[in-house]
Order: sequence, then C-alpha cells, then structure tokens
Amino acid sequence: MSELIVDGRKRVPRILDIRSFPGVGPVAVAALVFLYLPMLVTTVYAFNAGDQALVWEGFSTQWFGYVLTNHTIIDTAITSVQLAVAATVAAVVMALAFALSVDGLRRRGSALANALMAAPLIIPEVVLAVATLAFIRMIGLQPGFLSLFLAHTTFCIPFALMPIRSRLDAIGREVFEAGADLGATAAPMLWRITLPLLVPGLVSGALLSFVISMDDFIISSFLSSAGSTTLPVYLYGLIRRGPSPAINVVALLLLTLAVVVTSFTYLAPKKKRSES
Amino acid sequence: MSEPNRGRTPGRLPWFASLPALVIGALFTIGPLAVIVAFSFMTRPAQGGGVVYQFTTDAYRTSLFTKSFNGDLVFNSAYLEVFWRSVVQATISTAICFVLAFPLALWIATRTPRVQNLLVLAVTIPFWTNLLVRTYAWMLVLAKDGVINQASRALGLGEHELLYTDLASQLGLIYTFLPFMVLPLYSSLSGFDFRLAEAGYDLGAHKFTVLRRIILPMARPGIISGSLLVFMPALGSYVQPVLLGGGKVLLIGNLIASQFGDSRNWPFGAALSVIILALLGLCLLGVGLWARRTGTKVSLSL
Amino acid sequence: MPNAPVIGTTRPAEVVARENGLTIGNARKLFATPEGGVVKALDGVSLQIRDGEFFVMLGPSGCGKTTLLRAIAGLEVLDSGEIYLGRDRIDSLPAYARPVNTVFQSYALFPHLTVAQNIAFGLQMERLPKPEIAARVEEMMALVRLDGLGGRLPSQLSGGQQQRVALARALAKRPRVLLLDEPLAALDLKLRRGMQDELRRLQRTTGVTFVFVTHDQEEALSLGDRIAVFSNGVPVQVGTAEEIYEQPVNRFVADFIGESNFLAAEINDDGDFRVADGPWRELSEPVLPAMDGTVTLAVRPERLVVDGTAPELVRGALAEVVYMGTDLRIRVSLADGTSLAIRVSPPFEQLHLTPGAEVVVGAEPSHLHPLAGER
Repeated sequence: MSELIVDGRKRVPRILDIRSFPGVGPVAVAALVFLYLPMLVTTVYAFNAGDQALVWEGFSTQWFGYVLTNHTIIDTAITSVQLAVAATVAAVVMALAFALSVDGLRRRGSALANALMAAPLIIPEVVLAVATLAFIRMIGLQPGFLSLFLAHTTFCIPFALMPIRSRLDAIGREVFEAGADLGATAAPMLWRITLPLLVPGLVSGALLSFVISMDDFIISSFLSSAGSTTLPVYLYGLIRRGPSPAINVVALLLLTLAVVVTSFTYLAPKKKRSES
Repeated sequence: MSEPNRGRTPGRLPWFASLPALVIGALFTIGPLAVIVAFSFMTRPAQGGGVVYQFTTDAYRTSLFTKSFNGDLVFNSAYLEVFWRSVVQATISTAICFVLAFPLALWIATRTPRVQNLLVLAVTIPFWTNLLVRTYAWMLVLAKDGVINQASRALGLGEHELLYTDLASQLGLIYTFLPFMVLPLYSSLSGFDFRLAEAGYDLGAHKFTVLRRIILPMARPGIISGSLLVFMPALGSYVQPVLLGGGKVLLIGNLIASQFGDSRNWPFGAALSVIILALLGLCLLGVGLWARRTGTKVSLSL
Repeated sequence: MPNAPVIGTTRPAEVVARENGLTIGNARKLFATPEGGVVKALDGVSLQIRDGEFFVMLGPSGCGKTTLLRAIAGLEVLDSGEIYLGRDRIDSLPAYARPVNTVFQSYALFPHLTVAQNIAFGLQMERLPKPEIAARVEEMMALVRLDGLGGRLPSQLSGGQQQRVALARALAKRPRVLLLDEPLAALDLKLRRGMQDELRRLQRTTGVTFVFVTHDQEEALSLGDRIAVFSNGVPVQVGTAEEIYEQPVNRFVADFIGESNFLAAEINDDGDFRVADGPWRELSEPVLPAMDGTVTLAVRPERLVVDGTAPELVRGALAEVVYMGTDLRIRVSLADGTSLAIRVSPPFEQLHLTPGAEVVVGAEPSHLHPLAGER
C-alpha cells in the first residue's frame, strides 16, 4: 500500500479512508460558509463609518456610540432584559420543581404532563401568538408586561427543563438514596445535595431561557403595548424600513449575546465531565 | 403491587410541586388553543376586531368561498393558493436543508471528537441567534447595494433585483432552519460505528453503496426528526416573507397574523389557525404511526 | 425448648437474635414489569440475622437479595411483612430515620463534597457538635486507611479508595447494621481480594452487623459467618459456609455453590440404592424416593475417587483427563450416557489413567447427599 508522508504525519490516500466520502467535505464547508457569511457581513458593517448601511466609508465605532445613547433602543432593551430575567426566574423555578416531582405522578399522568411541557415547541409561533392574544383578551387581561411575562414564562419552561432534566438523569438515583440513608430529610437533601449537584443544569436552563425570551419577536409583537415594547419588536419596525448602520450594531450586539451564551452552556458542562 | 420505586426516590418533591408548571402550561398552551378553536366558530362583529358569541361556520367557509354581490357563495381559490404556496415553500426548505445538512452532519461525525464538539457549537450558535438578526443579515447580503450586487457590479455583471423576492424569502427559510436539520442528523450519525462501513467495504460495497445502504438507514430517525423540525415551523413562518419577501408574497403565517389586527376578521384568522394545526397534527400522527410500525425512535427535541 | 428461659442458662439463639438482631418476617414484594407482567422479588422471606455477625445474601441476579437489602435500608417499601431491629419495628420508618446504613454498589459518593465532607455528612444530619464530627471523621479515615486524603474530591480517587470512603461514610454513623450491596463488583480481582480481607477486619474491629449482598459464591464462602442462598425471591438455605457447601438442601444450592455431580439413583424395597449398573449399597440416611422409586444424589467432584480408597459406586469409561497443576480433572462416562466430573488431588503419579480404560468410581456414604424435592 502506498502511503504519503505529509508534515511528518502518515496520510492514508483518500480513497482508502473509510471515513471519507466523495463530495461530502466540500458541501459541508459550503454549508458552514452559508451559515456564517451573512453574520460576518453584519459584523463588518457594524464598524462602518458612513451613514449608509452598505456603503463602506472606513472603520469606526461611532454607531456603537449612537446605539448606546439612543433612548428608544436603550429603553426597549431594558424592557427586554427585565422581561427575560423575570421569565427566566419563573421558568427555572417551575421547571426545577417539575423535574423533581413529575415522576411522582402516575405513569399516564407524567406522560401527559411531559407532552404539555413540550407543546409550545411544536405549535407554530404565529398560531400560539394570536391564540394567546385571543386568550388574554378573553380572561380580561390587556397586552402589556404581565401578559408578556406569562407568555414568555410558558415558552421558556421547556427550554429550562431540558438541561435540568438531563443533568438529573446524569446524576442518577443512588446519590439521593445515599443522602436519605445517611439521615438527610427533605430540606437538607434539597439544599446540600440536589441543588449543588443541579447547578450546571440550572445555569444552562437559565441561560437558554434568557436567550429565548430576549429573542422572541412574534409572540411579543402581539402582546406588547405602548409602554412595554421589547427590543426585538422595536428592531422589527426599524428593519422594515430597510438596512441602517444602527441596526447593524444592534444586530452585532444580539449576535454576540448568542455566541457568548451558547459557548458557555455548551463548553461549561463538557469541561466538568472531562474532569471527573 | 407497586411499580419500581414509583414516588419513593429520595430527594424528589411531592407530585404537587409540578402543579405550577402544569397550571401555567395548561393556561397558556391549552387555554389559547381552546379559545382559538372556539373563536373559529364565532361571528365577526359588524365592525372592529374580536368576536360576537354566536355560532357560525362562516369563518371556515370564507377560506374557500366568497359571497358574490347577490349573496351566492362563489368558489374562491385565493386562500387555498396561500396554503399551497406555504406547503411548497416549506417542502422546498426541508428538501434543500436536507441536501446541505446531510453532508455537513456526516462530515462533522467523521472528525475527531474535539473538532466535532467545536463544529456542533458552530452549528448551534446560529440556532440561538435572534431570528430578526439572522434575517436582517441576509438583507445586507441581498440588498440593492448589498454584498452580492457589489461583487456583481465589480465583475461587470450588472445589478440584480434580489431582495424582496420570492427567492429571498425561500432563502431566508432555508437559512433559518438549517441548524434544525443538522443537529438531529448529527446526533443520529455521531453514534455510528464506522467499522460497519468497513464491513461493508470488506463485503465488496462501493462508497456510494455504503452511504445508501448502511449510513442512510442509520440516519433515518435523524432525517425524520430534522424534517419535522424544519417543515413545521417553516409552514407557519412569518418574519422571512415580510422582511425578505417584501410582504408581496404572503404565506399562511402572515395571513393569520394579519387577521388579528384591529377591525380585521378574527374568526377567520382563528379558523386558519385551526386548519394549520390540524394539518400539522395529521402530519405528526402519520409520522408517529410510521415510527411505531417501523420501530424508529423519533424525537422532537434537539 | 423452654418457654420461659431460666436465669443462668443459655438462651436459644433464635430468642437472642429476635431480641438483638435483625428479624425479617414474611416479607413480600411484587414488581410490575414494563411488559405488563409481575415479578415476585420477595416471596415471603423470613430471616434472623444475629447481632454482630457477617451475614451474606447470595444468589443470581434477580433473586430478590438486593430488594431485601433495599427494604431493610428503607429504599424500597414492602408490600407486606415486617422488619424488626431488636424489638423495634423499623419497616414503617423512612430511610433517613433507620439506624442502618448502606454501602452502595456504585459507592454513590457526593461528587461535590470532599472525602472528609462526605464522611461528615451523615453526622451533620444528626446535628452532632462540630468537634465531635471532626474527631469522628479523623477516626474513620484512620480506620479505612485514608489518612491525609480528606481534602480530595471523589473524582480524584481510585476505585478502591472510593470504596473505602463509602465504607467510612456509612460506618461513621455507627449503624446497628451495615448493608453492603455488591460493593466489590466494580473492583478488579486483585483489589477485590484485598478488600475482602479489609471488610473482614473492619467487621471484627467495629463489631457492627454486616449484611452483604453478592452473586459471587467464592466471595460469599470466604466472607460470611452465615450465608443465605436466594432463589426466586426466597432464601432456600441458610447456614455456615461449610453447611452450605457440604450439605446443600437442593439441586439449586448444590449447583450454584461450587461444582456438583447429580446422580440418579434407584432405590429398592430394603432402602438400598444403586447408581446405573453399580452395586447395591446402603444409604447413610433414610430417604423418601420419588414416585418412580429414584432419588437424586449430589456429590462434589473432589469427593469421588478412582484409586479404590472408597467403596465402589459405579464403573465407567475414562473419557478425558485434564492436568490443572494443583489437581487433575477427570471425566468418566457411564453406561447410561451421563458423565461424572472428578477432581483428583496430588499425588497422582501412581495413577495410570489411559483414556478409554474402565475405572472404578468410589465414594464414602457420608459424601452422597440425597436431594429433597426437585423443582
């Protein structure tokens, strides 16, 4: 068999490599470029000095200054963060309680309960949005912060639940049995064993909930009122008028949030696992 | 007789601790769905939005017929066309996503574990990026002065009308939902034991045969999950047709949303929602039955 | 047996056990399988475990031994039956309130707590004063020879060290009974031997009652003061290692513990027996034959001889001789097609064993055990 030595490493000719399939590599790379090219363009133009979104007039951070001092953008961003924090806290607490107790329901009950928790993931967002609008009108609420909070909490719960659940499954039953065996009653068990061990799952769940809430546009656009406009709802109005340098900057900031949060949730638990 | 350890695992909370999540889930998932079904059978008020509590099937009739001047019902295919267009766009999105995602997922699955982790992260980041940001990014690429037209002009190929077209809307859908296809495909391929492919070669199969006869069947659960995760939200998409399609070509999602503005037809919007839910329900039911018959495990989470 | 024990005389062991030991009365537990069936994990178990003994529950997987252990710990609820510790009924107490502790198969150490914190956990739950906890932790770490490792996390320890932490953590509570659920299953053979010695030492020095679950018969024989052999949710035989090995009550026990030959013997009206076409011989104990006038005799391979030093049992053809170093394994084919496994200890230089030759297989009457009620 002929083997090529490249950079001192043995290389198996491609046709003999069982893991390589013709055409797969190029298409894969093309797909990755497809995923990242638009984001790269956004990032570059966020540093444009010009007044036009797409006419490059040199490097500048002046639009960051504009965005960070724009009252409407700041106000809607604050509303979004407040809403996301409130919904995240509520969703994580409820998801935690749910994850720790759903097995206590009878078998059929717990299957139904799990299906109910997953439902917001399957219903088309537009449908859920208009239906929620109709529903809150029906029960006498108006679009506004409270309605937003309730709706956001609902669709954040499944995202908070996923990492908490998988962490709970990974911990297994015996550690809790050992706690009871050593004399821990409900409260010390929760504080000294369950919560410390669930921390990675709780953090991931909280971050995912926060991002999901911060990002939501469709449901929020139906439930926002004049005083409770969220950043995505305001951003949508801006985008409809066409690209602008300010939007480039806001887009880059939101993109950064996604990169930071995803990297954190994705890499943090991996690191933990490799330690043990 | 008892089930193993039911309710006895120490450290778990009593069953009623799941009530808050269940109550809010029931209130804001089942509640709205029940209301939307109810609204779809109600009467539209003489003016303004909302409904009048009076039973009628007018809303459903509106989706297929219009009243002519003398009060007869005349068949009207306009809304049917919107449905059809939505199904076609969702189907095309699913197909193209698969064509791009399968090689990508397979390629990722054949890297070293470390590289695999990084690549999965790379696919996950767009998934968690704001939908508006992702859509807006394409506006920058496709706009009149956008990246493509700049390049095209520089090469002397002239300027093209790209933004605010059907194609742009379609492209936006593919872009938005590509990670939804890659991740489940990857998770069904990542566990693949490539010694099976080796066995295939050993038995005289060509690369393409191994791909088709060994790897593709392995990826089947991922293909089904991925297709559902792309098709279902694409069918109800709302943002891309407006921002990239310029609102010229409406899809069912836009039609529903527009019925809920002030002085619009709420019962009709509700009826459209019920129809799309029923369609998706049938779709899921079909896949569920198929999965049970073939013993394939289909999961709808990522 | 006197009803009222007279002061100054030795009281019956059962009464002492009932007053001080661990008593299980008619414990039953059914499990529903996912397929909709029912498994009898415990099918009316009654046992008396004496104070301060090393008691081993042995059996194949799914025989109910682990379920019983978990029921004693309070991790499983019995469908019916009672568990007494001394005179106190404990089966209605929650796990955290029982004066028994468990060493789990997976050790179940708290991964976020250090070795010392793991050992201290149970003592903190009792709200002992801090200095006493610290002293007890030190004492326990010395007992299991982990001095100096108190600050490590479980993930930084070897499997054997984790095992010691699990033991120290459970023993720190000074339990009346220590329950061990296959604690050595995850260790490799050499480490396991060492830990067996360690466990025996710990049991002698602490005087705590050990209830040890295993599926490894060698481990059971070498560790247990007494052994209960479980099958299908009931202990089929309880006794010392020697009793169980030498006088198995049925085919299951004879087969599960060590190696056994099972011989179908014919019984005549005089109560004599013979195997295949061998000579008629007297039985060492009277036995009730089955309906067809036969009885099954169990005999260990090392109790059969081929050198004429014991009365003849049966003749057969030498089928196979395998040299094992410490002994010879011989297989003899009988006229009826069955074959006998025989183990010959050294010296075997004088034996002339040619495959195919006829050999006379002998056995002392006391080594032939008629088995009761075949299932």
